[in-house]
Amino acid sequence: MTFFSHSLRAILFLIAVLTVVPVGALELDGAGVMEEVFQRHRIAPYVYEEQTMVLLDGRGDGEERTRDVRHLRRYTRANGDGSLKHMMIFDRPEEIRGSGFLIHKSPDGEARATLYLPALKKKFQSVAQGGGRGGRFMGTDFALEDLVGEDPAAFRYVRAEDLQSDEIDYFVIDVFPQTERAKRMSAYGRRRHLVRRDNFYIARTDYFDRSDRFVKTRTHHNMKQVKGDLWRAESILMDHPGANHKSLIRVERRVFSPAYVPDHIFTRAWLAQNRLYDPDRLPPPSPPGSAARVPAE
Amino acid sequence: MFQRILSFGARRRLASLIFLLVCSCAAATGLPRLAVDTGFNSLISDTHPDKAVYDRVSKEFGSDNATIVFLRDPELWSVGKLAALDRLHRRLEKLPFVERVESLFSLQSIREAEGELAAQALLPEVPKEQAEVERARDDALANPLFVGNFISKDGAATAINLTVREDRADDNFDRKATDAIEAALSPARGDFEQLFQVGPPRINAELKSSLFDDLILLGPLSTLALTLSILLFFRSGFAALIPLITASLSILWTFGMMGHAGIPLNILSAMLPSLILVIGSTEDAHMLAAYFQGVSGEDEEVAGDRKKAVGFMLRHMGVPLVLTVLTTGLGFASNLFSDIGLIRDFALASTFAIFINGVITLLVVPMILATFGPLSNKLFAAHAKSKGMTGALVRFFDYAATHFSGLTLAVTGGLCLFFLYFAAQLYVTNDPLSYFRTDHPLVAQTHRVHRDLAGIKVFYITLESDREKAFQLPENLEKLRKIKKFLDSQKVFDKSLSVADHIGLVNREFHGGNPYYDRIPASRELAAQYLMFFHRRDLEKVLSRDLKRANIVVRHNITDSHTLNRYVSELKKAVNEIAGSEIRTHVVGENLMVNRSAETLLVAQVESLGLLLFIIFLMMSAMFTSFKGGLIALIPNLVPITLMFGFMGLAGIPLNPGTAMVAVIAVGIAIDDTIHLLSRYNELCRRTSDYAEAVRQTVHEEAAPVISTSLALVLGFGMLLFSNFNIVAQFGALSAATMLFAIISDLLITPIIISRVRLVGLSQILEMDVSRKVLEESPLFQDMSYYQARKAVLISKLGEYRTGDVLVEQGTSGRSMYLILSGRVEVHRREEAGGEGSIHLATLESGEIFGEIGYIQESERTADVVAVEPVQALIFNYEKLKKDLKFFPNTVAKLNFNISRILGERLAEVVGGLKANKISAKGAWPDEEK
Repeated sequence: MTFFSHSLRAILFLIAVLTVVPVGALELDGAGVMEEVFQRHRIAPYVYEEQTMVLLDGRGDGEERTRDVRHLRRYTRANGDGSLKHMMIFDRPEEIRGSGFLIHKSPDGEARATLYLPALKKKFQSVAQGGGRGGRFMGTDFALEDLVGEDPAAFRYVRAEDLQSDEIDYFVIDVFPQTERAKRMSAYGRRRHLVRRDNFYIARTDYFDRSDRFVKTRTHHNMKQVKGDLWRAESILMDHPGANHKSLIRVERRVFSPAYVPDHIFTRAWLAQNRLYDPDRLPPPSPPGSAARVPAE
Repeated sequence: MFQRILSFGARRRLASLIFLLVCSCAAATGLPRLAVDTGFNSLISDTHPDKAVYDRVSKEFGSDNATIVFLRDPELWSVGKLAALDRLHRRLEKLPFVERVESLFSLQSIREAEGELAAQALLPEVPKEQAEVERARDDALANPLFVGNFISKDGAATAINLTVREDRADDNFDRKATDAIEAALSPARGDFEQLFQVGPPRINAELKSSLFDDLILLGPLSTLALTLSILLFFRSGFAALIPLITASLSILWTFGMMGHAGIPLNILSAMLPSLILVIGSTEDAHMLAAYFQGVSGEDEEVAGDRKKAVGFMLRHMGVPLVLTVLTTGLGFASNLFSDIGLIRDFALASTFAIFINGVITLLVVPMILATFGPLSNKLFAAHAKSKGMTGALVRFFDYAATHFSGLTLAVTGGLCLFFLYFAAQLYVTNDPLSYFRTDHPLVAQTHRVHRDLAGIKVFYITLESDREKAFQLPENLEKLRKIKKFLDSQKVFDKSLSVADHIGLVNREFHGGNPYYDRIPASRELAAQYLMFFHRRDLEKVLSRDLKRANIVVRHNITDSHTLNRYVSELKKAVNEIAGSEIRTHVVGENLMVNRSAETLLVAQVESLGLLLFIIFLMMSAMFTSFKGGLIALIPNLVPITLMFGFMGLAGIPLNPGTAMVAVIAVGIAIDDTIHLLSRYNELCRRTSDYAEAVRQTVHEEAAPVISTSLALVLGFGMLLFSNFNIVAQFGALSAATMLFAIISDLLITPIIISRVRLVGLSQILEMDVSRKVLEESPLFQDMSYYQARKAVLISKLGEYRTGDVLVEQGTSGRSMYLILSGRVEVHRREEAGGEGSIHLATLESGEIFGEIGYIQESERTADVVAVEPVQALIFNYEKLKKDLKFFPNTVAKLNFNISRILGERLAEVVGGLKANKISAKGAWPDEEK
């Protein structure tokens, strides 16, 4: 009885602790938090997205602020060897239709970017790695490095004091480039992630330059629980107060399926030949056993 | 009535004092509300047609007024210097009023190198190695968007452009912003060979600080000039004090009114204290001179009596004072209708100042003199002829007018033609930088920016289309290139920037940096795809969000408004032609509107001058009861203005908001002396039929006050040369020169002209103390209106006789006829010449005439006419009226007609008398008829 009651009390206490405090959360360091983040929300190996990109400048109010709306498709394929392939193709407005970006990131983090402007007639232009340090991707407030994810091994994660905002608790993680390559290639001296304690999803990132001066803020909105611990934001806003400008990416459609991002499409030739969106051909027929399709909102 | 108003200050001293104190206290409460305006808006015409377009364009593409921090150093492209530049950039970013900082550290570079296109920050951070520095330098110098805007061709100079968020609610914003920027620059002073800021906040702050310096400097200088002048011409400390009191009160009231009325102090009204001191003091000087003449003069009744001397002063100076205040005030008021706020505000304040100074002078001067006035002044103890330099000048003018009047007029005419030729070469400028003296650091620094980069003055060429995304179309982009080519062909503008340059740059870099491809691509799609390389920030000054409007930013350093306006006009025409009918074009900019307003300066100047001259012509015509009088009063004042404009053209002094006012103000002041001269001449003409002598005497009597007040004005205006502002100094110099020209004109030209005319003053007519009954009942004035009769009286000479005075002596000859205004005379006929016995023929009273036969025909007087009590009589001299016939034909003709009728009646009476055997001797009065 005594043993039972002691055991019962211990079990009940353990349940209570496990209920109130996420396992090991109190003890997690920066790297630990980020490991949890990557584990839960790591880049799905095969993602196809249809996005709307809205560029807002700081002048005027309401509708007057809308400057430019673009529609694009984004293909992402992560291979087992750690290499990553991205492709972005603009569908609208009409005059930029077919313009594309192809990025190959090797397992060692080396990235090669190629730009295709259809109006230049099959001329491909290699783009300096990362699109150029401090550069802005196609007139947006995103740098190329903001869009292609990060290699955890290349960065050092330091946990700062936790934060509560709007009754949501956050881990605060400062990210510093660690490897020589990362130091050389990144425009940022530091990034600060605000990671939600409840789902380990990065809700906000503040970017600082190499002199640790604030540059811009990225926030994730309309978060959806895709499957299990996997969450995705439907909207990403990059606010660049210094430029009085904001860029909003809204995911209109997202499909997790290798069939949507077959390996052979990540080539210049495919980009040049198949760049135009064909609603009859896309989405491609889903092969049996492919990942679940996440319907658009 | 009029004299009672004028003498209020002397009669009601306590009431006047209370009134002055109350008004002064009320004015003092307005002083804290007095605002200072040195903004450029006051230089722009309110009705400028481009204003609305400019407001829309600047809202869309941002203000054309940027503050530039300029740096120059031969070692600029080194790790250390760039680190200092970066620190400076960061310090400037932290300033709360700075919206945006653009420097080498914020620029986005697009460049193809080794087969890769790099679209990235030119300097994402301070380079650690010199190789990185060199790479960035090469990128910067290869970028046509940067060269001239951010970096000099030699790479040694660069600019940090600041977009400043103005806080117009804060009066001290410009100073605070300038000081804050200076504080940010200060730690970097040792890092660069040259480092300074230029731009609107600094220009405004410098204008404001120079304005306050002017207020502090010019007021005391003018006080000194005034005190010296008064001391020199009156030799009386007391006399020097009075203008200071009236001027101080006038300044207080004027600034108080400005505070209450919300009229801001600007760079022109900063010279108001000086102007009030100088111009206001001339009235005080005239009044003081009259007072001293009264209190120390020959009239025993007035001499030594303050109150009577004040009365004497007001009788002699009251009307001219009111008239001169009116004309001077009109001179300033003629600028009230200027489109330029700067001038209009000054006109409002200065007109008020002149009129209020007149009121204060009329109250204060009699009040003080009646209470504390000195009882004598040696200089005025007796009528003294002009001595020294004044005397020499008078003798010279007299000689020239007497012996070479024709030649003098011919030479003057020739000089006027000569100067008119140069006046035609006048040019106009309204550039705020030209307000500063050429040695001002701001001017030199602005030139430095111009030499190394491009001028800091900016305007926009905006093209608008109704077509969707019009400026993605190659044909429209090509139009922007063509406009750029035209701008380059004009060779006066430093730099232009449009979206065509951005697209040309990307096209070039997509073709390996080949300069051939720095052109507009053939397809709309490619232009659109190139534009994706630019962040909205990079394009906001050159392309609208909807791509329907494109803007070309043009930088220049032209200060001559006329040149700028000419090239802009040429440009507008070309832009319209290039743009075609589907695209609307605007060439706008605050800088352009400010300079465009300069053109209106010229028109406004002519209009104001014309209006003023017309009003003065009407006033003088009324004053001298003839249009001829109005014209004569104008001529001596047109000469100095012609010379002044010619002098401006000859010396290359531009017409600007300062110099544009000289002519009207100078006319307003210079006419005062003409009024004094003509008034005196008229008075003297009543005493003599020798008008040449009257002219000489006028000049002798008026030369001293004319020269002294004019020299005081010259000295006072000359003090403005010490102003911190070019335009104020030019205004002072030209006004002083015009005053000198006016002295010559008044004392040389005026006498020659007036010697050929005879005028009657309206004031004389109105002030004339003649019994209405006499005028209405006298047969001499039969069929004449009351006004005509008074004018006829004034053409005559007034004689005043004491009891026992002989008006006409038997046996003498004379051509004068008499009309008795008051008193009585007796007519006696002596039996023999030299005999003692005489027959009393008649006793004549007011309204009766005698001596009319002698008037008609020169003949011997046949009786004595003796005053039996004090008599006032009008004397109509045949020779004088003969001369006056050409000046007053109507009046003299009527007089002669009436004289003929009187003689006719006399003849009838004589014939009747003969019949009755009661004939009296010819020319004698038939006393039995009386």
